[in-house]
Amino acid sequence: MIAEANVEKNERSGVAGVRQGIRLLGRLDDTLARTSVILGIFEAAVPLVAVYMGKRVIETLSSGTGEVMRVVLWAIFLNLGLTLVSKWLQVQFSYGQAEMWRKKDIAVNNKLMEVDYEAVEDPRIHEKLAWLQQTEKMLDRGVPAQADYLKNMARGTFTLVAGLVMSLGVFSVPLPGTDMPLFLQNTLFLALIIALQLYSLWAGARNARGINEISESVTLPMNMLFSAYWPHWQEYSYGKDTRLYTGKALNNALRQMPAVFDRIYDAFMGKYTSIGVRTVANDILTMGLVYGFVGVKAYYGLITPPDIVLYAGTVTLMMSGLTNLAQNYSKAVRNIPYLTVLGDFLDIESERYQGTLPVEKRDDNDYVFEVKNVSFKYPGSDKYALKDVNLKLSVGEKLAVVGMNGSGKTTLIKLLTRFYDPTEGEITLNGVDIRKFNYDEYLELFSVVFQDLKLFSFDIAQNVAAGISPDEERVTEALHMAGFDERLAEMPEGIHTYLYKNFAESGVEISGGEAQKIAMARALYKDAPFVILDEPTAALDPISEFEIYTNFDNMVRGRTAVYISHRLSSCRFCDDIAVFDEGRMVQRGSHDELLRDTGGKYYELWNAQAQYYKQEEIDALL
Amino acid sequence: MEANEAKGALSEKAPKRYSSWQNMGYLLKNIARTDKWYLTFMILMAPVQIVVIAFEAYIPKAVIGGIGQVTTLQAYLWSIFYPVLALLAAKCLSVILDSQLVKGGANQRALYMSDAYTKSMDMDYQFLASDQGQAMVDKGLTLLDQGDMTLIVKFGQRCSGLWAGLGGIIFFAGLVVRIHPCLLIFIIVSGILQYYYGKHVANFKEKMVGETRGLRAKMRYMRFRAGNYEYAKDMRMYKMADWFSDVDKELEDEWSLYRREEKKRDYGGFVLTAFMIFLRDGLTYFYLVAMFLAGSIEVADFVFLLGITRGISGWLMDIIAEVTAIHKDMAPLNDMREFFEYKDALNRDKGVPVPCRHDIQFKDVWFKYPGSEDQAIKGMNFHIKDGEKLAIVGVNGAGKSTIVGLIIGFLHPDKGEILIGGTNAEKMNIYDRYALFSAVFQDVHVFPDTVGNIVMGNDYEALDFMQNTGLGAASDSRMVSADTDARRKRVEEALEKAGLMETVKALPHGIDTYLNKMSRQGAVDLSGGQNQRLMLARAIYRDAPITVLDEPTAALDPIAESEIYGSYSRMVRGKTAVFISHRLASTRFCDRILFIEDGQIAEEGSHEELMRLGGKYREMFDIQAYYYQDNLGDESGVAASAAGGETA
Repeated sequence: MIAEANVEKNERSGVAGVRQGIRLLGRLDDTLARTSVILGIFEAAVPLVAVYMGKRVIETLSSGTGEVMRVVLWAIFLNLGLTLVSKWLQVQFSYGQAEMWRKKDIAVNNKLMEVDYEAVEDPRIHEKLAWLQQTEKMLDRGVPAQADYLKNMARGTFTLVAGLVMSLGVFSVPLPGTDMPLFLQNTLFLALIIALQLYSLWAGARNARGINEISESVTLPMNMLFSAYWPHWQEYSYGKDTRLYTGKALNNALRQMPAVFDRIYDAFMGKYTSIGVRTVANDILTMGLVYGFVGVKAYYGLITPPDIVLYAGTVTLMMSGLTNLAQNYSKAVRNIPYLTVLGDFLDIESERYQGTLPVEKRDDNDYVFEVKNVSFKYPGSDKYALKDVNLKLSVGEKLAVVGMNGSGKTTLIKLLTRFYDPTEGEITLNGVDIRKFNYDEYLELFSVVFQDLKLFSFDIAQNVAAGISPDEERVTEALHMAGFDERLAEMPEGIHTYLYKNFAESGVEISGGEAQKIAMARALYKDAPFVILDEPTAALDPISEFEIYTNFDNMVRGRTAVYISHRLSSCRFCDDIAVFDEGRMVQRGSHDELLRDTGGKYYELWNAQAQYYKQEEIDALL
Repeated sequence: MEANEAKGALSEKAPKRYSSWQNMGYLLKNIARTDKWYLTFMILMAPVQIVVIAFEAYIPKAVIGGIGQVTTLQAYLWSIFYPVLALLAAKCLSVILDSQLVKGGANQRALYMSDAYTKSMDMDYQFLASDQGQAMVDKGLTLLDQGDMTLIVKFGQRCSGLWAGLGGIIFFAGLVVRIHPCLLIFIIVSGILQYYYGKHVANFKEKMVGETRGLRAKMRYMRFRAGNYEYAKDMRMYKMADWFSDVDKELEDEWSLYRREEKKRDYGGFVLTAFMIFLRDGLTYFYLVAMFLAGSIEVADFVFLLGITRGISGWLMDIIAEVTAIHKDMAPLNDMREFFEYKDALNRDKGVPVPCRHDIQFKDVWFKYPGSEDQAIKGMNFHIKDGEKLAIVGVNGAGKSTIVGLIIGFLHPDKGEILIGGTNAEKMNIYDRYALFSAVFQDVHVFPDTVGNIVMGNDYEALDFMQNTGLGAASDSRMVSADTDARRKRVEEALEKAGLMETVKALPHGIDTYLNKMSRQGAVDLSGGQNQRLMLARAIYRDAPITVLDEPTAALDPIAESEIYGSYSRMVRGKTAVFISHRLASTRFCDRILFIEDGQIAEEGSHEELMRLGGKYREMFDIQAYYYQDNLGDESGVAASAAGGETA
């Protein structure tokens, strides 16, 4: 759970902040922003016109049927017309708002795809995005809400101004029976009503702050906690744990849940009720004052009964316009932190990939990579993940990289593929620093199967080709080389079978091992000269694992290959082994050479695994 | 319920569906039972609403009408302010009552949720995990998961809205009839028209929801998964950005077609309403003008009656809106009731006494997953002696986890018997049975609480849950479980045996550190390997007579892996134990091995016996052992034919 204060942002305040928020809205959906304003104006117009026409009808009542009915027709047609336009705009607006969440998510996703990789792994970015998600659960926050505020501010402004203009009539007749100048009379009256509004606004803002505090300190943590508990209560896949271990605690927590909710509501209800009561009181008292003000002038015959209807309406509307404007402005202000964090994120610049050198395409795959004195620290960390690594890889070599978890194996890969750049030292390709190359072309050289590989819920062919138009023959060949034939034969739709059930009911669930094979096929399909496999057999059963090992040569024929594993059995089919420990490459050589060094890390790791499989022991049994 | 009663599956009979009245009655009964204040406020709301309506209508009349009367200014002003004050009082009261209704509604939802989740945790696991079970639970919990707008939460407010609308109509219908009966008829007819159009739109939208289910699932997938940072490496490596935006575009195009249809219908509703208002106002003005010109009403009455007519229209629409909203939730409410009424056949009563011996016997056990065509377990027979360590090995899908599920009691045999300590396990009380087992499963689920409380398992009672949320008063907390010295010590010992104590000591609050980073401020996440050890510590603490381990060392490096095997070995000393494995190294410390293939025992014996047998076990072992031999190139021991590939 993340506190707002911990999330860094370049926040503007007040009007500047609100304006910036509106600009972000426009950036994500220009049409919606414009519709908001126009809709606001129309929504303001409808009641104002209605009030005016109402007065006109009453005015013409005594003028005879013909006159009256003409005015009536005007009134109802105007109302119809304005309503039809206004409702059409409203429909566009509501649907635009609903789409806004999706648009925002897609904008964020697209940004994640184009931004420098290090931002993707940056915990500060994660925190910001998590905070955004967490905040979205609160009412009144987010981009769609901003559209509401914009609309209501437009409406409020228009109502206020138009209402004022239409009310001039009642303000320009002085009250008889008093020496107070007209100006003062009006000022007094307006001051009274505005004071009511201001008090209401001030009390409302104070309550809102209180509610905000409770939200942050109570509801938000509650929601986070419940979100964490929720799958334990509800998802059957947690059911084994529940029945054996966590059931009692969960049941007791559940029993207390209604009381917890009650406490939360009690905390809020006081504030909400007082807002409600204050609003109601404010509205009614204002109405009373307005009727009084207008009524008195009517009593003295200064304005006619039809005017009572008009001015009571327009003055009330005018005040409501002011309130609308002020309330929505303060809500927009409370929305600023969210919009700022979102805006900052979408503005992140990509700095890393400025290289322009084209990569020479070689049919002989003669690429030589050299890692020269490379040291690397992850951004924001003090610890070296890699220190003084020197490594040279030539065409056709098969290198195994082994070591305990956290020794730097995967980090090396991320440097080779330029997800990060070294802190010290350099990596060269055929003598040229890899930073100089055009990154898109550079990546073409690599086919990597990452340890935490991900497949997508599209069909197998698309997954293997990583594109929307796969070459089916190539796909089938790649799957064959990855040892997937048997499983493929079981699938009724072959390579057009969907994976998982997100996209298609007929989608199949695949095991971890099967996913690894498909990911391997994906790497093979890409047909790059440099193949890197990071723990590709961790989830496979012995037979599948053996298949991969024996096919390995076949699969990487002629290419350079790096094989990362902590299953040391894989070292036996590689020419060369590099042993990593705590960020350093501590040993390098062939299996036999390394085993001879009985004090070394390799020997330690090897024996830890091999002890169970020693041939001598097996022989002893037979 | 008829068929499959032993497994508590749903019968072929269609589940009971209640009428709207019955459902409303059900909700009302529960309110009356659990929250009498809520009920009281609901009832009070009606008269208060009517008073509000009456005064709101009356005030403009007083303002205009008062002009014609010959009274003093003071009297005139008071004639306005009395009703204003009365209105103020009534409206304030209604606001207060409304917020009580909000609270009461939320409380009801919490009560239902509490009952629903308790039930879901207690249900027969086998049914819960089946497609049918999942569907029933999903549907059953839909209403509760939908947040604050559902009937359960809004019941009081809907009812009071209905009463207010009815009150307004009954009160003032007479006046409208006095204007002209046709007017009232028109209002009612237009109300009915709008109601049916509304139903048409609702049906259309429901149909759309059905048709777009797949599309929306895909869009959700693209929104939430595809953009996840976990996918970032693969997406960059394979240049998937274009692929994704192509898919996005396809989905977007399809979606906008549906949206356009919905927008048209929505707008159609507004157009209909606008026309109805147009006609109603026209009619009303026509009649009222006629009455005025005939001298039967004054200006004040004109304004008043105009307001009333509009009001009646409004109240009718309110009633329609409430009824529609209530209807919308009837189907999910039925689903929820069906869920609550589901009875499975697990033995929750006393059951046979718990056995003192812990041998496990399968007698001709057959099992098929519900909804599946193939038998998962076919006539299996074996006997694990008390205190014996058994390994179950085989390829993925052979049935290893199924056997474990049957032993513990998550799954139930179709035919045959499972005996524990000579007692038929199916006749035991289900919780007594579960208590016999300490298990570590492959899926790791980290309970959002402290390390100590997690390790304590069922010894942790979470009686201080209220306290935990920062809301409870100190007097609410009972003894916080991890405070007992004896228990803390036991937790520390378990952590020690699992090899996690060093890690825990380094945490900010030791065993009192909260886990699951997103659950609270200050909570931390452990690594995959550390989590696995945590689950092991939990099983060690539980110290049940039978241990079941579903080997989860895939993520561990060799040193950690061999340490864990050591922990397992120590943990099961003196107990009956079952290991599932496909890393054959771990079976070395078991007394006996069952090699499972296709739901049957293919080979059985100790490691030495099976190696001598030279069958499938030997084959699998050799394959794994191949690369660990000192002399490679010796293919004679390797069943190269099994792999069918070339060798280095």
